[in-house]
Amino acid sequence: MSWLSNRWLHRALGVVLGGIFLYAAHDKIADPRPLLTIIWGYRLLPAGPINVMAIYMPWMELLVGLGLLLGIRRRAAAFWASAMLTSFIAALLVNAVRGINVACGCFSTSSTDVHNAWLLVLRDLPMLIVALTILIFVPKRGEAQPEQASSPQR
Amino acid sequence: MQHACGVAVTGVAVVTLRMAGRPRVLAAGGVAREAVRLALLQGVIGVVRQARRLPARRPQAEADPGGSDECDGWPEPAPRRAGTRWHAHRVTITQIGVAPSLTPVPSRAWSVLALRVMTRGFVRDTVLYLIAALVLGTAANLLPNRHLAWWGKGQEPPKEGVDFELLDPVQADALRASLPDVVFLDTRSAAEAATGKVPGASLLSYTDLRHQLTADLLSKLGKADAVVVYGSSDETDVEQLLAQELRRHGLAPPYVMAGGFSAWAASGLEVERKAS
Repeated sequence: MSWLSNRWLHRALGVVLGGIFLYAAHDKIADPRPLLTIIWGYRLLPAGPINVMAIYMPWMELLVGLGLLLGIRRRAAAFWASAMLTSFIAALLVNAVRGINVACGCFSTSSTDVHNAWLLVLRDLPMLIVALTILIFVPKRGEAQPEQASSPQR
Repeated sequence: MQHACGVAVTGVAVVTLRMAGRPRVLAAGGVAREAVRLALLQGVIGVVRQARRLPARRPQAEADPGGSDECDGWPEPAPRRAGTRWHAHRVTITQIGVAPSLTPVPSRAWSVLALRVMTRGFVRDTVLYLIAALVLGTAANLLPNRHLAWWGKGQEPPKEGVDFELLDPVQADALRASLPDVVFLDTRSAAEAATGKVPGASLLSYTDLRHQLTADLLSKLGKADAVVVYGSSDETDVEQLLAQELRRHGLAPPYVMAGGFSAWAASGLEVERKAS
């Protein structure tokens, strides 16, 4: 499993995952109001926190995308990416089980949305695995660094 | 033989320091190769062993019954500690080369220090990301044309049958033919609409309602026989939001055209293009 700590692998994974987060963030940053309604559509949160999420989540996605892409505090960025992906997957799973039509974050007029929700979970899982790989397996380097030193606590 | 390899590498390193020119470079390459090999062999294994032994005695006082036959330890008295392979190098060279300027420290202290440094840095970076997101989100939400309520107050998503009604392009065209005053609202950009739109449609951007949804427009929409909202494609969330907004301004629930202009054009219906 030492190959998972290869720093070139981490850079490549960071570029891919960072690019995905940046692409996801740009529309929401341009206009957060549809995001407000999309989060409402999941029917999981009360009214108050939904606005907080709609205001701040796109910017966190942007920062995480930049951090992963450019390698700026990549592990911290991977931590937040993992947290967001875990919450997205959990919300999709809940709605998939409930049978609520939530497809790709949009309102849907199609009865096949429940299936789409499961596909979205399958789409998000590899991204979560990538984020966890960057977070857990610290790349080896020639000299020890505070953030990325291999440490015995794992 | 337990520490022979480490001693050998260290000895060569010391001799290398006293060389000059190309021989020094070549010898340094060999030292680096051996050091990396020992580090890979000993570093991970040594770190794991150190972690398991916490709290541990000083490593130079311990036997290592589980070690391999070949080079499984740093030379005495160089410590094997978590995350301090580089430190062991320096300690070894100075101790063998001249007078020791660094004395070995108890392994527990170094392990705890390494743990603390990494944990602190990771937590610091994580918190920095959070603070940056909060600052950017707050600043962006204070912009005049983007303000969302900081805390939602019972907002509901648009509901079919309450805020809007759905219809397909053929039905929309039939509506246009049967009623004298049907207003089509196009939520696309001006550039997209210039390539083709529903005949007589007016542009209305959801992100600029504050400026575009004037009293005159509301009055015109209120007098119309029907209002049909459409966008570019099958995803009608923006059109549904616009419909909800119009309803909040006192209009009857508008129609939202499923499939958008793409479906209208694909149905072979009449298209108005901007004269070039």
